[in-house]
Amino acid sequence: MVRRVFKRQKIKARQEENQQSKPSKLDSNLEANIQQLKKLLDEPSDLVIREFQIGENDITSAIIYIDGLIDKQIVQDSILGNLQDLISGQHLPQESTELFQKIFQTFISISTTEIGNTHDDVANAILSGKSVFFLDGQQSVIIMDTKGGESRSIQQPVAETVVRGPRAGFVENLGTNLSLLRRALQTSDLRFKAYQIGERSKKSLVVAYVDGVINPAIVKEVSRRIESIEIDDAPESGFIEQWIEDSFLSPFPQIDSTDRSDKASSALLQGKVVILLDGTPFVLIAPIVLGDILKSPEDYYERWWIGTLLRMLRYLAAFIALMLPGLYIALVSIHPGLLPTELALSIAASREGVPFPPVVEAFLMVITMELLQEAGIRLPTPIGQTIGIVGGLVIGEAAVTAGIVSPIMVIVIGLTAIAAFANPSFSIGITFRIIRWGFMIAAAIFGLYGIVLVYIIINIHIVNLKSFGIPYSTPFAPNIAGDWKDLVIRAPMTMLTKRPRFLAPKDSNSANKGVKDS
Amino acid sequence: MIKRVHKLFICCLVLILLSGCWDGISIEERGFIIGMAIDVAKDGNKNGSNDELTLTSQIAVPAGLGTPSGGGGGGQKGYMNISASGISIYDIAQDVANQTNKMPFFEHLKVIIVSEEVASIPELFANVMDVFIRNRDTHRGIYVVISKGKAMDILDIQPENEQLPARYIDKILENSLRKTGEMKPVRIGDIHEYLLTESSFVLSEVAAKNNRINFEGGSVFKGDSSKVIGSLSLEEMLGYELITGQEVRGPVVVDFKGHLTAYSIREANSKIKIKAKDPKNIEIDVIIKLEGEMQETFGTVKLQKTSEVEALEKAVSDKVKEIANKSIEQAQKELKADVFGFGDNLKKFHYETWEQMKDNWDKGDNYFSNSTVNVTVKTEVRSDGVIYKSKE
Amino acid sequence: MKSLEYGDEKISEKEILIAIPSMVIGVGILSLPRRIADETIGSDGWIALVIAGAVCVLMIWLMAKLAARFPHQSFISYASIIVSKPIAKIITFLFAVLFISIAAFHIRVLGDTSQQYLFNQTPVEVVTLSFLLVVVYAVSGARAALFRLNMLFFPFIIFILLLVLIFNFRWIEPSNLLPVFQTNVKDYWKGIQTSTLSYMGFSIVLFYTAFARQPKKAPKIAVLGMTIPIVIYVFVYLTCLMVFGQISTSNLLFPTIDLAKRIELPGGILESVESVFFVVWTMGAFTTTAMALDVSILALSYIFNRMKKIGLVLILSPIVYYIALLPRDISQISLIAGLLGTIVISYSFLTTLVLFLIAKLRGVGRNDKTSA
Repeated sequence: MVRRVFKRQKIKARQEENQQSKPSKLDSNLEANIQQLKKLLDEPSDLVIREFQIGENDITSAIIYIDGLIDKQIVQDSILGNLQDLISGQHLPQESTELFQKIFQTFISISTTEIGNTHDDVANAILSGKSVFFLDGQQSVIIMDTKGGESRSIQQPVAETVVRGPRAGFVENLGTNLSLLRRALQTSDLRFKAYQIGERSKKSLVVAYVDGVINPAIVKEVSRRIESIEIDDAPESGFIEQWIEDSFLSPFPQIDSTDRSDKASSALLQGKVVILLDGTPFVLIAPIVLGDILKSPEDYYERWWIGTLLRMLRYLAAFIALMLPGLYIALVSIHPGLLPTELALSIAASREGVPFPPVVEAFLMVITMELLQEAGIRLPTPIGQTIGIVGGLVIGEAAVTAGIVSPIMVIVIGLTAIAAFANPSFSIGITFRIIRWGFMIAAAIFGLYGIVLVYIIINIHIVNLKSFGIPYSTPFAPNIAGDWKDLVIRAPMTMLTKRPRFLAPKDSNSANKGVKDS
Repeated sequence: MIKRVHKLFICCLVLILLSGCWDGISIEERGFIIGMAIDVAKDGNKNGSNDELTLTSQIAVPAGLGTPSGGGGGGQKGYMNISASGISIYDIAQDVANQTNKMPFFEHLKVIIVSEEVASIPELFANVMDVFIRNRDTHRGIYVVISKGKAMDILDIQPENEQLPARYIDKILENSLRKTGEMKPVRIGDIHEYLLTESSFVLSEVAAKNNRINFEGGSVFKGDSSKVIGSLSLEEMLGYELITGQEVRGPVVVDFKGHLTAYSIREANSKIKIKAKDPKNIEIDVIIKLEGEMQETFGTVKLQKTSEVEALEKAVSDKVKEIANKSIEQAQKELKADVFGFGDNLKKFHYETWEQMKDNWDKGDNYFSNSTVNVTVKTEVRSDGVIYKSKE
Repeated sequence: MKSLEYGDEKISEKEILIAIPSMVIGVGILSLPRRIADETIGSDGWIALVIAGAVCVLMIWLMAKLAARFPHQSFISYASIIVSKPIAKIITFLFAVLFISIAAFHIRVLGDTSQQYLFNQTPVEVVTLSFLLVVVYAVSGARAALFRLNMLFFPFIIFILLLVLIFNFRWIEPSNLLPVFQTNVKDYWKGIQTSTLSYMGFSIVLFYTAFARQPKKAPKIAVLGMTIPIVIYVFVYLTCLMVFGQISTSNLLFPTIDLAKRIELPGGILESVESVFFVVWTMGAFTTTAMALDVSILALSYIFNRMKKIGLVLILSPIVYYIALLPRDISQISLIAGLLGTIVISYSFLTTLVLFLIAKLRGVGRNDKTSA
C-alpha cells in the first residue's frame, strides 16, 4: 500500500517536471532540424536521411528513417515514388505551407499519418519505425507509419500446444497480434487501450477488452496499475506482470500468460482483459483464479466428455506433481504402517543397502530432476533431448544399480516430473516445483501431519490472495455454484451459456439467445 | 502486516526444522513383525495369574523375500523367528526387539497364534489380548487363532510358494470361509467386543502338520470362565457358521438316491427368532437359507423335473439340518456355552426378559442348555452344471 | 461491480451456513459416540443428541435474531445499547476468554490425538506449536478469507466422514441398535447434557452476524447451519453403534477413528485408513481453532480498540499455547473439556437470553421500530 501511494506521488512529481521543461519545438529550418535530430540520436549509423528538392521553387525536403525498422517497399512506393512524381509535376503550390498541406493531404499514400511538432515526437517516431517527412520552412513534419522490417511471421504457438485448435500464435509484432485478436473477435465492442511503457525505451502496450462484457471496475484497476509502472524498458510482458500483480510474495501466478491467440480471445469474451506488449509474443490475461491455470483451450474444442476427463486428469496430475515426493517421504520414513504389507516389504527390500534415509534420497533425486529440467530447456533442442535421455535414463539406471537410490524412488520422481509437465501452463509448473519442496520438508518432519499442515498453509495463502480484487479461490470459495460447470468438469457446450459469474460481467449471457438477423 | 507475520512464521518454521525429525526411521531399518505366537514357557511356574509366557515374533526379512531387483534373495530366508520369555507381553516384545538390529514395527502384524495351553488358563487369554487391543500400533483386523500344540511351531511352517509363514496363515484364514465354510477368522476387534460383553465365542483351531497348516476345528471360549473350555469339530464348525449366518461358501456332500452328490453353497444366510415368554422355556427358531448348485455327482441325476430338484433340495436340507443340530447339541450339552449369540439376540429383542436372566443364561442355571432350538433349512438348487449327464 | 466487493469483510449467507458446522464440528466428534454411549442404553443416545440439538437450534436462532435486530452492528455496540457499555465490555471480554480456551483445548486435544495415531517420538509441544503457527497465519489474514477457508475445507470433512460411514456399511449390524427406549429419564438428562457440550462454539453467530451481507436472513441460515452438525452427529453415533455395539463403543477412546480403523479399502491400497482420516480431520480441528481464535481477537479488538489486529494475534498466541499445555494428562483434559463445555454453553445461553429479553423489554433494535 505504502509503496503504491509513494509511487503515485512520484508520478505526479514527474508529470509536473515534464510540463515545466517544455518540449523543444521544431525549427523552421530543415538543416537545423536535422542537425538537432542527429544530436538527439547521436548520429546512429543506421539513420537514413534522404534529401531532395521538391516543387518549382526547389524547396529542400527530406525523409528520415532508421534502416531496418521500416518497410523499404512502402517508403519507395508510397512516399518517394509519389513525391518524385511531384518533382516533375507542374501545378504545385509555390508557397511552402500550402505545399506541405497538399503533400500531407494528397500525395502521401500511406494510411496512417500524423503531424509532428517537436523534436521528441520526431525522435520517438523514428525509433519506433516510422518515417518522417521534413519540408524546409515548416515547423511541422509528417510522420508516416512505415513500420516493417524483419519480423517473424505467424507460427504455431510453442509454449502451449494443442492437438485440435487454431494454429495462430502471437508474434513479437504488436500490430500483428492486435490484428489476430481483431480477426478472432469480430465485434465493434473490442476495445484497445494504448499505453506507452518504459522510461527510456518507449514500448507500446495495449489493454484489450470487450466493452459491454467486462466489468468496468477491472479495466479501471488494470489501467491504474499500468499507469503506476516505472521501468526503463519492458522487454517482455513478464516485466509488466511483475509490476501489476497483487502479491509478489506469492508463488502462484496471478496473471496468466499465453502465446495462443485463441486463448486470449476466449478470455476476452469471458470478461477478462488481455494485455499485449510490443516485442513479445506472450500476452497477459487478467484476472485469473486458481481454476483457470488448470484449463487448456483444447478442453472446449473436444467434446465435453473428453474435456471433463482431461480436466480431472490435470487435477490429479497437479496433486501428484505437488505431493508425491512428500508422500513418499512420509509413508516410507514415518508411516510405513499405511502401506499395504506387500508394498511395504518390497520397498524395504528395494531400499536395502541404500545408504541414505528416504529424505536425503528424495532431496537428491528431486534436485537431479530440477537440474535435468533446467539443462534440457536451456540447451539447444537436439542437445536438450540428449540431456533428457542421458540424465533420465543413464543416471537414473546407474544410480539404482550403484545402490544410491532405490528403484521406487526413481519411479516416484519420474511420475512427479511427468505429472508436472501435464499441466498446460509453464508458470504453474514452476509454482508446483516450489511448493513441492514445502511438502517434502514438512513430510520429513511430521509425515502426513506435515503434509496436511502445508496443505492448510497453501489454502490460507490462496484464500487471502487476490487477482485484481477477485479472490484467487473463486469459485470454490466464495462458492459460486454456477461457475462449477466449467471448473473441474467441463459441462456440455449447450449448458455453458453464462459467462463466469465471479468476474461479474456486465452481460452475463454468453450465448446468443436466438436473435434473428433482421 | 501480513509480511511481518510471514517473517515470524518462517523463523518459527526454521526453529522446528532445525530440531529434526523425531519419528523418521527408514523403512528398511524397521523390523516388520507380521506374526506372533504365544506359548506357555516350558519351565515357568504355571500357577496363579502371572504365568510365564514365551512370545515368538516373526520378523520379515525383506531382502530374503526376493524382489525383482534384489535377485531372488539368494537362499536367504524371508523371515526370522525370535523368542523370549517373560510375564508381560509388552515386556517380552521389547526383549525380542533387543535381539534384532531393527526397530520393531507392529503395524503390519497379521496373525496372533495363541496355544491351546495358554487359552485354557482362566483369564490368561484375555490378559494376553489386552496389549494388542490397547496398543495403537496393532490394528483391529489382526486374526487370532488357537493352536493345538506349540504355537511357535506354526510360525515355522514353510510352504513352497510362500516365504512368510504368517502371511500364508493370514491368506488361508482370509479365504477359508469361501472354500470350505469351516473356518471363521476372528479378528482382534471382534474379540474385544466379545470380551467386553462376556460372551462365548469360537476361535479357529489350527495345527502344524507336514509343513502345512491344518484346521482342527474351533476352540470354544467361554465368556464367564474366560478360558477355552472345549472344541467343535470341523463339521460342527460348518453348522456353527451356518447358524450364525456367515457368508459361507462350501460343499455339502449328500447321499442322493444312493449316489454321492456334492452341493456347493453359494449364498447362505440365517435368521434367528426367539420366543422368550418364560426364561425356563425359551424357544429358538433358526432358519437357514441356502442357495447353490450341484457340482458333482456319482450318479446320473438329471435335474429337469421339479420333483427331482425338490428331492435334491430336501436331501441337502436334511443333511444341513443334521449338521446344525449336531453343533447345537454340542454347544448345549457338552460345552454349555452360547457361542451362537442367542443371548445377544435376546438382549436386543427381549430386553426385559434378558435383564431377568442375564446372569443365568449360559452360566448359573444355564437356561441356554435347556432351551429348545428348532432348525429349519430351506435349500435352493440353482443349476446342475453345464451338462445334463456325464455318463449313461 | 460485485466481484470487487468480495474483498471486503462482508460475509455471504452461504459462508455463514458453512461456518457454523465448521465451528461446531471439531475434535469433539472423535470421542462423542463413546461419551453418549456411556450414558445411555442401546441406541437411545440419538434421542439425547437430537433433543440437545433442538435446544441449540433454538438458541442459535435467538442469537441470530438478537444480532439481526441491530444490522451491521458489532456485538459490543448492540450489547452496549441493551445493557450499558461497561457491562457489554465485561460480557465481550468473557466471551473472548472462553473462545481462547476453546482454541487452546482444540490445539491440545489435536496434539494428544496425534500422539495416539500418528507419532511415537514427536513431542506434543512441537505438534501443537506447529498447529498453532498455522492457525496464527490464518487468523492474521483477512476475516473474509477465513470464511472462504471454511468453504474449502468443509467438503473435505464431509467427504471423509461419508467415506468412513460408507465403507463401514458391510460391518453394519442394524440389530445392534436394539434395545430401544430403555434408558431412564435421569440418564437421558445426562446424555442431553453431554450432547449439548458437543455443540459448543455456535455462539460465534453473536459476533459474525455483524458482517453478514443480509443480516435479516441470518436466523434462518444459522438454524439451517446448525442442523448440519446434528445430522452428522446422529449419523456417526448410529453408525458407531451399529458397527461396534453399544458396549464396545463406550469402551473405545475415539470410536469415530476406530470406525476408520475398520475400513479395508478395496485392493488394499492403504493398510490403515485411520491415519488418513485423522490427518484430514486436522482440517476440521483447524477451522474450529482458527475461528475460535478469530472470534476472541474480534471480541478483544472491540475492547482494546487501539490495538492493531496483528498485535492482538501476537499477544494471544503465546497465551493460547500456554493454556493448551497446562493440563497434565488425559484425565485432566477430559475434566477440563466437561467444565469448559458447561461454562461455554451456559454462559452463552444465559447472555443470549438476558440480552434478548432486555432488548425486547426496552424495545431497542430494528424489530420494535417497525412495530411501534
